[in-house]
Amino acid sequence: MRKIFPNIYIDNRGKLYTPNLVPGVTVYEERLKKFDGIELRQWDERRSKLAAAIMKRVSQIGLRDNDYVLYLGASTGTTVSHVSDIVGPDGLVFALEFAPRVLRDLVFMAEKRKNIAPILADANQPNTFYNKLCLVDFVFQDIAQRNQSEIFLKNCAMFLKEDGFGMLSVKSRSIDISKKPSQIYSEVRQELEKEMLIVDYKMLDPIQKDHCIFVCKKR
Amino acid sequence: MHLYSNALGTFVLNQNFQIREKELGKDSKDKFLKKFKNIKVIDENDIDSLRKALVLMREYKSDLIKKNTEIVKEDIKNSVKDDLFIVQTINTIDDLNKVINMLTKRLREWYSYYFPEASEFIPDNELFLKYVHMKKKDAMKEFGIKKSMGPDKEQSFVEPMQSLAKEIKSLYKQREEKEIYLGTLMDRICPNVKAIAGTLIGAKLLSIAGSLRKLMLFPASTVQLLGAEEALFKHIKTGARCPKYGVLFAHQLVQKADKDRRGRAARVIADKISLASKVDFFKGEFIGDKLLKEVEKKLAN
Repeated sequence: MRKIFPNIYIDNRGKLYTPNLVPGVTVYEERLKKFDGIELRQWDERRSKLAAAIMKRVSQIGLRDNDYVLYLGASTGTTVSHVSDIVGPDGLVFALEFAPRVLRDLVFMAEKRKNIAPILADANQPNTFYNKLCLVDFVFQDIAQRNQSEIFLKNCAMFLKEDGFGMLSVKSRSIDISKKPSQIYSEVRQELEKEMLIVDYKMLDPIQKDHCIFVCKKR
Repeated sequence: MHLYSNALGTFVLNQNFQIREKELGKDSKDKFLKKFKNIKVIDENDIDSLRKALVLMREYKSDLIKKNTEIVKEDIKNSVKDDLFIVQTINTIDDLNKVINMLTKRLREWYSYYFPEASEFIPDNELFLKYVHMKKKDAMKEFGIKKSMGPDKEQSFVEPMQSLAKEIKSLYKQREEKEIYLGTLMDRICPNVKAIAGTLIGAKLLSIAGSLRKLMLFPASTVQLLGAEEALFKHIKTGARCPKYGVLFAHQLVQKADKDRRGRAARVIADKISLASKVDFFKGEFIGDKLLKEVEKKLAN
């Protein structure tokens, strides 16, 4: 077991772990493990694009202790729970989701963790939720929308601090199913480069099919 | 000076964006606007000032969590609309159908060891259940046969099958009840869609769309292909032949149409359903009968 990023561990079998913020409680029936006196939660890379990116050896994720995070496309909160582990009790995660049904599950999870603020809003319209946020250190986006890079840039422009990191998970199939994924990735890259500095990008095949993750830094 | 108000409260900021005055927990915008002259309200159009205000909000972590949790609970509560109950009901009916078919198949297999002729002569599932409860002798008389291929067994072998048949019968009743309930729900929420598409197909369309609002936002061409997503994406991706209908294939008027005109029928019906859903969503008058007549007239020639 060794640490690869702040609060992210990897064991000999190549499985990822984060320290459990609420010891003894699991979120999606994942495995718990004791290491060095702390309880770790296994992080399933097939259910989380962020974990998949780490498994693909992304060079930097830019997410640290005590960070304030804006998470767009929180869904039921599988990855959100791990991000909440990583930022720790002094961090804060704004979990934004548009579908009330899945957000319901997230609210139950968030109430146990005390560092998650759930928000029901459309990520495409920052002006409907800017009054519920503060400036953040990190933006993560995982939404399957055709204009996902535009949404990402819009939110980074408004909520991400200077020099803050952003991570965008691109699902090529929801942008254009008839185009080749690699072509879509380069289009997204060009669009991102206009406003951000691209630190690294990794294609997530075969863990997540037709997905690519971009790590950017605000200029 | 600047005025910034958000979910937490209202803040008055000086030129250097430091908090000069604040009131948490209520909207004091008007009060501050009266009190201070020369004050500028920060909104989403002035991103630079907004970002400076958002920096200050970092100090209010626990308030942000508390307030957002409060708001989100209320939002989720308000998001539950009556059309979601239509979706749940039609999904329940689908599940009941699956369970009924599965159990009946099992019962036929089981009962056929005892009395194979019953399953052979009665293809109808619901009727078959009645024969399970009948005495073998009486049933044989009815079928006009003298001998059965199945062995005679004592009552203790037959009883478990009969009790299963009883359960399946009650599932049929359950399904009937749910269909009636679905009809009344749709009469209230989307009478126009119901009039054109029928109860089950209308509800199925709603279920695939997710809600009446989403169905209303779909163009007619999308409505026509709801339920044929797999074929549609295959068409876009590989250039296979495009589907002509999804759920609408089961519609009476599509079924009645000649084989080479079914696509046209589906198109005409989808057109009117799309129209009807818009009327329903905005709580318009009932025009379902008129629309249905138009459809029939169009398909007649």
